[in-house]
Amino acid sequence: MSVEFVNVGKIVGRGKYAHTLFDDLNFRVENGTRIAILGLPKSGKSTLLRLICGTDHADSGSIQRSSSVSWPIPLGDFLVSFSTVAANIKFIMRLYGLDSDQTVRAIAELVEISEFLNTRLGDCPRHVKQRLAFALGVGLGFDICLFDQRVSAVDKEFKEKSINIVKSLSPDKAIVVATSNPKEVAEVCDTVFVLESGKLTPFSDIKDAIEHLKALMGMNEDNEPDATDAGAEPVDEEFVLEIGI
Amino acid sequence: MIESLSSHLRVVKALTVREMESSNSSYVYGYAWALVEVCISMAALLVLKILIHALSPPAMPPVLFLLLGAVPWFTFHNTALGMLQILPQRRKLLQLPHVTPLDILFSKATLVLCTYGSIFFVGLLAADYFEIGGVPRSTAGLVLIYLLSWIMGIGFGLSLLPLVRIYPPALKLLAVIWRFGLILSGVYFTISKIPPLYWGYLTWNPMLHVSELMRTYWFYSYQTPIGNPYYVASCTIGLFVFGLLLERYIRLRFPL
Repeated sequence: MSVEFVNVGKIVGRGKYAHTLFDDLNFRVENGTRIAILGLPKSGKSTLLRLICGTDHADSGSIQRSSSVSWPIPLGDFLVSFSTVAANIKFIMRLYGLDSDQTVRAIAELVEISEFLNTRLGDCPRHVKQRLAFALGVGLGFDICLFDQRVSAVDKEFKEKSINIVKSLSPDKAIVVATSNPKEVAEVCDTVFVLESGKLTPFSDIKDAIEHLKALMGMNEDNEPDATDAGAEPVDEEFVLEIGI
Repeated sequence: MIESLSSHLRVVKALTVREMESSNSSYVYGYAWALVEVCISMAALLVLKILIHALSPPAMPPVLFLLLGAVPWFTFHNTALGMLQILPQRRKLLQLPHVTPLDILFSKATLVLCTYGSIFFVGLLAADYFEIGGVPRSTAGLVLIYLLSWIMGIGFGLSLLPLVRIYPPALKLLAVIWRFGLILSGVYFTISKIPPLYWGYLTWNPMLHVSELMRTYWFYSYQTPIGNPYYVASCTIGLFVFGLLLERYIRLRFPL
């Protein structure tokens, strides 16, 4: 049970803006592995997640899936504001061939939103949508859960609990976190890759991976921009703060 | 293959139920409004028909006559139009694994069939009861031709999808074509009321054949001089296959 990339190539953009994002990418996500993928903004982390879950296609090579894969959590754009929380849960369950009132309740209880089950999502407090998006991704029993940017993309009150939920996922479930926030990753993942120029480089230690990322960003030991790297692409300030360097 | 097909059917079913639940969901009675809207449209057509004087042969009760022409036309029209409009509106659903553009398109088409099919069924029964229209000559023929008009709508929608994807204002231009289509498809008249001199200009339109055949399959008193079920079936299969191939071609080259 896994997802396997064999010589995968991906071109993004069209016409004169087209460029190769991945070329001959080989990568495997086995059940039970907890993988972190670190990379600079626009390095292709989100595209990689979409390729893993099958919502984007490779331009060359092949991707074989023998596991059920979640969408990149906490994506929740597909939730309908005019429908109740329960109707939204039921929709996703029907989509993946599950249908039971018990599961609806279990999903709501997982993120403590049971009291809103029969309330229209649009009328609920904001945190309900965030928690629902998170709960649907981790609570429906996918073999591989994908996380885009954050494992705990929920309100502050629930942040710690959400990390615990992810940690407590069954050992045979795989987790892939594509992020620029190594702090959370250290708590959840045991394998680290850095995505750089369309290649995934494995690191045995997350600290080494962070150091490598710093070097990629053109930051020196004092966390200042490297004077020798004047031509480097400007980096998002928020990103720098997030990774804590 | 069978597993993949059953997975797609499950996705289409889930999407159709979602569409049904969320359509008009800002109103109190939700999906019921969609049905009411169709009834209002039919009533408006009936009034229009009375105003422009009936062109139906005297042996045909007016409401049944209109339903047999208008509902297949609107099923065809709304299926095609719905398919042209739905993808940009539901693009976010493509972020979910297993959901493909075709699933979204087919779910919209299924919703149109459910809405118009139920109106058609109830409307025909009611009109038949009140107007004493009698027993249909061929129920199987009616169902078959109605379903072909729906599938033709899917094929027509799929065939025009690339045009609307590449050039969205084409949708406005199509609105004009739809109006001509409504007039030329025999919703308000039977071909027997048109001088044979003009039949050659009108009979290329498969939806005219649909209206003619629907009335022939219901009324014993009316035998269409032009309606050809094989022509309808050929156009339907041709448009459907062409539309599917075109959709696949455009999906790979112009992703949403």
